[in-house]
Amino acid sequence: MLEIKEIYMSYNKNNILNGVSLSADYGTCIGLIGTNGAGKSTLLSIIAGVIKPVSGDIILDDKNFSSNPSDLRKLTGYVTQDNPLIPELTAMDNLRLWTPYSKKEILNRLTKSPLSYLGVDKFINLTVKKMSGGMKKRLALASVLLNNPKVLLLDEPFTALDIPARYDILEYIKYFRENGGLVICASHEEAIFNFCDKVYLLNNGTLTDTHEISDGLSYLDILRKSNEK
Amino acid sequence: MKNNSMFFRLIKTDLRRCMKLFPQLFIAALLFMTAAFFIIKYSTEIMYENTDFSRLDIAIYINDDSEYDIMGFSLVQEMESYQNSVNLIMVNSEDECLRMLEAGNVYASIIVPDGFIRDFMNGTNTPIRIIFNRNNTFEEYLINDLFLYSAVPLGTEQAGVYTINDICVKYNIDDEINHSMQVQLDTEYLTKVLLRQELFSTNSFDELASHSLNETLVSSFIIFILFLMSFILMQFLKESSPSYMMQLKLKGIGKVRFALSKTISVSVSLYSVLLVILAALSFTELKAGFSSLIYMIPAVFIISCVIVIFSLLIKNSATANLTIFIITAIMIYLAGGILPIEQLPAFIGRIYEYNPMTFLIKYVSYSLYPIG
Repeated sequence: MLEIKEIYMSYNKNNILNGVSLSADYGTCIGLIGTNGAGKSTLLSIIAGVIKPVSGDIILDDKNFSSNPSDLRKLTGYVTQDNPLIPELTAMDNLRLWTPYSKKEILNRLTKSPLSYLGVDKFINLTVKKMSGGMKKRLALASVLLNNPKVLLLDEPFTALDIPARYDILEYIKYFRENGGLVICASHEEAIFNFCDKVYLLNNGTLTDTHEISDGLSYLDILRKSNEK
Repeated sequence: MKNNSMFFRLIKTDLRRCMKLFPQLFIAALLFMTAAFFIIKYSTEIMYENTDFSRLDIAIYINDDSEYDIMGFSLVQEMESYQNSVNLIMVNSEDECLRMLEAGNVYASIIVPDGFIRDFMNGTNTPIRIIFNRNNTFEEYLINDLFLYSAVPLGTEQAGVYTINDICVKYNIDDEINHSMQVQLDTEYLTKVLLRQELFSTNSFDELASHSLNETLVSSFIIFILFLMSFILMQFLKESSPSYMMQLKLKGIGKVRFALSKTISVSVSLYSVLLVILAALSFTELKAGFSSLIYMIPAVFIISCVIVIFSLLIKNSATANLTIFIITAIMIYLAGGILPIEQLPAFIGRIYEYNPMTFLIKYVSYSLYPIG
């Protein structure tokens, strides 16, 4: 179980997160919505252990990581909004950088495990600069998932994706969740309501369960309503 | 060191990225090397209006044909340092000396005054006149240096003569004995001490100018070409998106290890470029020794470090390249890597001593063309 308690974060005296708390069990998918600059990526970075919050606790499996958040990096997989891929190298070369496996092992995992949903093996020898946006996103996701994270953090996973790519990625997220993984997904997309068990609105540095704002409202209405507050 | 596995994977990936740039690097290096080769080949002609480094003709007129003067002249002619660098032409008159100088047949004329050696022995300084046909040439510096080095042993002998004279005067020793002792010292000095090859080899031409102009130019151009490779390598050095950096951080790779991996990859790339340059040089008379393959490793690493530091400090690729180009060119110039330091204004000489590029050029010169 992941528990986030009273997280505070500020940049240049601007408070980004004001006592954010949430808890999530394994086998669930949590959605984060909010306007640009609301702090969604900051919250994901804190959960991933990339940045240390000013104060607050991050507890995963009853272990508090607030004093040493870098240990969280081994347990989480963070797929950032922009891909971390090296354009002049092939998909295989990129995967060999981000995972400790040999070529053979990588191919094996990509074709036989549920990672085959992503279809990366079909363009394994293609250089990244020749790939479409969807291919890059699939590859970025595969580079994280090959390391078997317990918690998958996704920042805008559907940006610039065509419908088949969106479908394949959603299928994998479902599989990951059903097999005991925890997914936290930050997105602008309305689709987030369809596949997430719980959706939180991040506004003015605080987190609110969208059900508490008003059940049954459209995504746009929720955002409008939150901005009025 | 934690997470070594990821660090080695990063180095391997960086090397793989650099290898993709090898064709561009090699072509650029060969183009630069070809241009440099022609500059080096014709540098002597461009700078000195002369096509070779043959010995310099110098006219000498000895006013007195005393035994000592002739012996002194013969000794100077036999000195290895003079044999390597000048061709002394004995002429019959002071006028002939000056005519040859005016006609440009000789670089300098030496006029030895009447009784020079005699005066030298009895402590009277009658200077030799040295007249150059033009001012501030490299040859003038060379000849001056040569005479300066010769003056040192002669001055030592003069000190011996003075000492004998002073002792004889102090203890009222007979003039005849005084003279006899001075003659004996002169004879011993001229016939034994100055003839010792060890002394002459110590004052050899090689020590006045450690490497030839061409060797220094090759070293400078190699350094310059390696620095210019930054124009190609910068695309590798600068292409690191924020998400890439974040993923590296997630894998435990900080800025130090990131920079170290880049430096190793750039070093390997530059060393490969160096191999191409040395292979091309091996077809010319300026080929470097095999030992340079090892000795050049530290030089290549230093150049790589500088390139990586500039790439990290300057955000824009074009600005980083331009900065490296301008700073390197100026520093090589101030280190006497393009024109010999003797031909540059005097104030540059002071900068030269503290210019790190001076040491790098010297190190590369000694690595490529070991002396001794």
